[in-house]
Amino acid sequence: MPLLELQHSLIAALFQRDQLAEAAKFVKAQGSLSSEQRVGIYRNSAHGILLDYLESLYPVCLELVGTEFFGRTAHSFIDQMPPTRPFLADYGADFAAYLSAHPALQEMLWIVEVAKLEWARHAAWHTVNQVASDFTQLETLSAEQQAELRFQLPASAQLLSAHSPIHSIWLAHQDEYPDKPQFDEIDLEEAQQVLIFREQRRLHQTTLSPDDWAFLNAVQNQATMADLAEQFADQLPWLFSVAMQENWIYSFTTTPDETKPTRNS
Amino acid sequence: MTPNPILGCGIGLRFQHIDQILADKPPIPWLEILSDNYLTPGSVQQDYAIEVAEYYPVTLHGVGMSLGATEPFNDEYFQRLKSLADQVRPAWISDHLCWTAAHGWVSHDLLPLPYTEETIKHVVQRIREAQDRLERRLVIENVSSYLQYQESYLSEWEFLSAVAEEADCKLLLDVNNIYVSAFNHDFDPCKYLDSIPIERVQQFHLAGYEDKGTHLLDTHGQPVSDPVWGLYKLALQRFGALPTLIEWDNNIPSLEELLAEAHKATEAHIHAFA
Amino acid sequence: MMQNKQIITATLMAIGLSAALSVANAEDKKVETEKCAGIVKAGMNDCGANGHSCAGKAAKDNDPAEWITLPKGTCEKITGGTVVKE
Repeated sequence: MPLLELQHSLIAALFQRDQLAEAAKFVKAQGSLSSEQRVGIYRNSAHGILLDYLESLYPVCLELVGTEFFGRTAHSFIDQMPPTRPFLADYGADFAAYLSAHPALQEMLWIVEVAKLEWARHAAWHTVNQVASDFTQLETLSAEQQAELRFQLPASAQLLSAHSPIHSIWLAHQDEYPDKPQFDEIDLEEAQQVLIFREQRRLHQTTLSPDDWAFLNAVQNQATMADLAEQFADQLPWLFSVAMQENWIYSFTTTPDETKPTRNS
Repeated sequence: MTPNPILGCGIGLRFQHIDQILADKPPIPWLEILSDNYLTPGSVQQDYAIEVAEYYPVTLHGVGMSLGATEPFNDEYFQRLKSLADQVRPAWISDHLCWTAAHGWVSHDLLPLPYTEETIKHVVQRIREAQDRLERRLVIENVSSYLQYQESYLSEWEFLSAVAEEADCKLLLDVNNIYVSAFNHDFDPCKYLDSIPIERVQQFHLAGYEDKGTHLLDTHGQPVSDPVWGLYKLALQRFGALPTLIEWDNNIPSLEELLAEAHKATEAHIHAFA
Repeated sequence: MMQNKQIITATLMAIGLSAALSVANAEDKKVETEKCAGIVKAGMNDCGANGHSCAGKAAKDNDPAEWITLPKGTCEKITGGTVVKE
């Protein structure tokens, strides 16, 4: 079908520069613009729309590397990995991985970690939390059921462990944040664990202590109450208290998780 | 419950303005929600859209249906759009007479079709299918374009009119897009207007273009230009004072400035027949 | 050192207490979290495809120099510029 052929050729030209001439064969030359220049207008437009979008997703990375570097890298990313779904909000998840392969960033991989944080924020905005459990129901469970309990963070929760202080770097680039750290005083060697999650129309982003991070990570990996008691011993009541107060834990399940291999006892 | 009627001159809902709109509830005749930015079920975005729709009549306007494409429709897109529509109860749903997907890729940019009898048949069948899926009549918008295909032999107005008649859909005439394409392809925009069947037109769009010297670009980044206001007046005289919407997507101004632009369209409604 | 069973009992008590408190303090908590680090409005972006065309930013396509462009943003402040490895 000719329409199919035409559309394949034109969309290829949007994401592959060397296909411009091929697509131009379908197009009339008019006035002062050649057919190739006319296809080029669309290539620029499609790239421009996606670049604007990536800039809005990764505003801190944009500031960190500057508009020229960001633009060039984004343009080659768009050509390498064009969108494949009609939902724009799904696009750009691979951008951090793409940055991590960039030769100029090999000494600055902390920028890649900041990109991962910015994507985690975007993902949290677009994820719907599960219904919160009524924790007062826990009292009614038998001892066996209590040992088999599993807990869940809000579905929007993103746990990040970085070799660099991604939360501080991010904060330092927020104009509206009053007590932000001074960017040039940040120690890049400081590792940070960060939790991001959404509550209704609000996004929470906070650093975690190593203990809290290990605890939430175990919960996220669907450890049972018995596993948690084993791992965290008498720290556990305190870890739970903090997590509950901060709304880091939203729900629990009593049925065994069938996706995990069952233990031999 | 039937949706509130869409009357007068509204504005496209943009995130920058949502908090202010929900807090102050300024008098706005109606709002157009860009469906593609609200398609995640249960997301904050959708939550906001639902709240806005509680206070204002709304329409849904999309860019991702890809009515002119040759690959099958994206089922998930239609499911999500339908679910959004169930929640905000738009007076109607519109999308563009164009294609955005091919070869497994999505352009997120509105790409023109070749204007031939064969394309008409194809698009008509696609619009009918989309209308069946959404269980409602669609409103189809003409796009700005920067190229014409070798194989095109129909004018855009012939193509658009034939598609509307055969698919039995409504039309959203973007007056700025007509002007932009008329400049880019050197045709008479008045002739375009005069050829469109009057009873098919449901709504107008107005926006600002950018003059690139060799061509006009539909950037939605500035006020509506004077020649487009002139063409709009002619459109009002031919089609009547139909609902009109201001689109602004780049260098988005304050809500007050945007509403002032909509007010200019209201003024045009009043003076068009004077 | 507590036995696992005692830990679980103590933990469930802690959870029960927190659950009760969080209901009682729901209102106070809202105000407090406003001040927490990281609650900044940024992030919910409305930048999407919306039917407009874009002038692009003059992408220099397939420029061979692309891969050796250096970052020139605020990162220079704390790294003092960078060197590309040959």
